[in-house]
Amino acid sequence: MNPNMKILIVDDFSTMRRIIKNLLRDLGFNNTHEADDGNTAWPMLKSGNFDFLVTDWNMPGMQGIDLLRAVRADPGLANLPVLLVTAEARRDQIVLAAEAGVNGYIVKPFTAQTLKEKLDKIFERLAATA
Amino acid sequence: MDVADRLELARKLVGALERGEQGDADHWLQSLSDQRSSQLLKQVAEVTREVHQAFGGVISDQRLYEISKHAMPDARERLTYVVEKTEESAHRTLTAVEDMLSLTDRLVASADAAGADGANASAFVQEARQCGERLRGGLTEVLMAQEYQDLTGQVIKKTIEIVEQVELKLVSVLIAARPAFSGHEPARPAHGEATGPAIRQAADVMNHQHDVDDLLAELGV
Repeated sequence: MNPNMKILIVDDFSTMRRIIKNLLRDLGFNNTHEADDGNTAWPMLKSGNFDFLVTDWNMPGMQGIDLLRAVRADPGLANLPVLLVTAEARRDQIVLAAEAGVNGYIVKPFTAQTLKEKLDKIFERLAATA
Repeated sequence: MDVADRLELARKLVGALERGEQGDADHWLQSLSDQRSSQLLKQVAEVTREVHQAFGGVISDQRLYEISKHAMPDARERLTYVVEKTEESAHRTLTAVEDMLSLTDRLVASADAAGADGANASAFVQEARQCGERLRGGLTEVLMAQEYQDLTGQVIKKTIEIVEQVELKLVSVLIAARPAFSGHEPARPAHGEATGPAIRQAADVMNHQHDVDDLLAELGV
């Protein structure tokens, strides 16, 4: 994993963004940026050369699942790895996220260890298919 | 018009048809149909009146007035306070933790320097002392930031009482308007609908990250 990779954190709660930002910094990732919903995130993703997207699901404005679908439908962003970090934990929702092409799914409340494991797994898989 | 009257009309209609008296048959058929329409109209009028009375009662009900005038704005205000207070406390804690994390980084760097060069030992002792004092301050700040639990807990308990009262009033109004109303049952979210954290056990909710991981593995993610 490239420690300089550019990461976008999308969550409507500033405290959760701050927690994820701190955990990522602890894992060696300092190049993090924030958005408070899908609508704010989208123009940043379109022009920002991001390497990784961490997003919540339930947000006012554009929800995380719709942001994921928009990313997969965009030729320039289709291959961007996306990790959902969300309190939404119903079976039908996880199936929807998988169908939409999510790379990882973490349910809140979560631990630093879980975040590390999911990041490792996502980038191992990407390296294997590259 | 009762069943016997209708049977009588029907018999007359059948008799006229059997005798081939087309004019009479049309007459009896028209009578039957008129009877039916007026019956239906009467029923519609009756239902309309009942619905009107029920809704009139609901709209002018003092209990609903109290709910919309006082209880709901009060509950909303209290919950807004909870959101603000918890957010403020979380930020207060995060700020203290971020400061302390950088202090521990400084401490570790200073220890490394002292380890590499014995001459730095006294500088390290001084640094450790300063960092220790500031860490103590930071931890006290985290401790104090937890006061939100007491304050918001009281407000949330009060809000639960308000919601209970509102529910009781609404149910009594609904029962008056619609006697068949049979109390509450949990709402079912639409497929994929975002509903926030699951607050009760349910068959379709994944309670642990490893359940989510198993499901994702099944789905090939």
